[in-house]
Amino acid sequence: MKLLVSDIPDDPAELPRWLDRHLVGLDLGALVAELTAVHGPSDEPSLTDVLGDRREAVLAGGLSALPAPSLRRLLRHPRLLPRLQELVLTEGGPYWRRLTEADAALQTRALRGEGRLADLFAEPAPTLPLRPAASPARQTRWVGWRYAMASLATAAAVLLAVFLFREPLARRVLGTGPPSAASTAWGWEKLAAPAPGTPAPDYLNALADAAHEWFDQVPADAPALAQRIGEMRLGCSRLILAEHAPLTNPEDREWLRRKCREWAAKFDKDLTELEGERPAPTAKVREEMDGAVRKVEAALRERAALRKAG
Amino acid sequence: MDATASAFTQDDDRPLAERLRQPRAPAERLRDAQAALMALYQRHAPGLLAFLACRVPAGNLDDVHQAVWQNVWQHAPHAFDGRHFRAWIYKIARNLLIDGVRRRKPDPADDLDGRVDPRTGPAVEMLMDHERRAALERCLEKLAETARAIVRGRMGGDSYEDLCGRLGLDANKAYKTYHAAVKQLRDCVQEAGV
Repeated sequence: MKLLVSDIPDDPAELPRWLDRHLVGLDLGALVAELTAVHGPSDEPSLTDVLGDRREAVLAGGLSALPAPSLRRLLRHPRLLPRLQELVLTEGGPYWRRLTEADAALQTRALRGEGRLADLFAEPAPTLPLRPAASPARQTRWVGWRYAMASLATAAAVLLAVFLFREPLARRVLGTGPPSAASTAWGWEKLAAPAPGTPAPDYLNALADAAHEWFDQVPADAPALAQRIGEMRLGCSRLILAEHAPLTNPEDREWLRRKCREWAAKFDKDLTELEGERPAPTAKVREEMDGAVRKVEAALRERAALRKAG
Repeated sequence: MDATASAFTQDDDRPLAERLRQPRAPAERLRDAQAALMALYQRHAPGLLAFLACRVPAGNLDDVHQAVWQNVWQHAPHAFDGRHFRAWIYKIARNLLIDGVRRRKPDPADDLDGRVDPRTGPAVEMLMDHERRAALERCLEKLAETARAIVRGRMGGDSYEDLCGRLGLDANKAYKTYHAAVKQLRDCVQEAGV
């Protein structure tokens, strides 16, 4: 186990910022456990007492607004930290949000959850018995309108299913552009032959755009996901065997074909996981594919930028 | 209003929240509500994850987080007035946690170290990592008394200057003793395998 308290800065000036980061990080619980071990149980002051008249300054700019004795009280009464965390997360200013944005572990976790957002749009009812955050008056009506809510959500899911079938995500989400003509081809499969004289960076970026079309649909079940992966894999074949005339540098063509083989192997692996005797959960495979396609897109854009620069 | 106050009293989420709570039909409105949810998710998911991380077992974090957003999506058109979206999602999260605690069977290995705070209402408990705490307590006991006092002081926010004055040590010795003690603690908890 990593001992978090051992990283406490030697320089007292860095202590507030160190604690700020832990307050809105994923490991606050571990830090509280460690500080409790170090300082033992004691009579706890209230958070209001500790913050005193610096409460608003802390909300705006972090714990550096506190005098050293108050900071010491927080460390020595670590059960106050989760309460302080809740306060800064619910009422804190942009300073605190920036800290969460700068936390790579939080961002990774949030990104992982983002892939599951589409599931929300399709699921008619909660998977856990939940209580809405409503006023007491509303809560008394909860049982009644819970069923109405489920019906509405089901209707929304049906609408969405029709919609998913007809329109790519860019239009679904951004609401731009005319509806597409019915077509099963997308991504690399759909790409037309490049016009003569197309610069290499434009070509590579077009391939990246086409790869991004993976996200135009969010397959809801294993058969739909398998089909989508298969289509992506077919696109790989097309790229591996294509001439790539705009890539006048042979190194670029070799690079692209080599990368395509790697991507194809990854897609094959994900498909195998989905189709295996003990199939992996659809959401997990979809997340894997989402991650893989993001890497594909990033690699293509990076190569395009390299060629543009050089 | 001064700049400090405005930093945390403004409701930046309101335009998105209004779009989120609109009726979900026709399809254009549904799309727009979905886009609003995504934007609000990107804005608030990291903070919400931090909040949940010290209140639910690690293995449940993603599911509980997803459940919060599920509630947001499902209840926004009816149970949300469009103001203070951030406060609303944390209220949902708190309710979920409280409901979760009520449903849980007592499990001595997974003790919720929560106490109701009369100032803030029902408990929003922190999940205490007792194993980590116990391991560190045992390791601290193995330190020499002076080293333990220095560790407690430093981990309580004391500067070396404070400590030297109180313990009658010179700064150099205090620094070396502290870092040797920290290394000993790291090795000890590592051996504990927590």
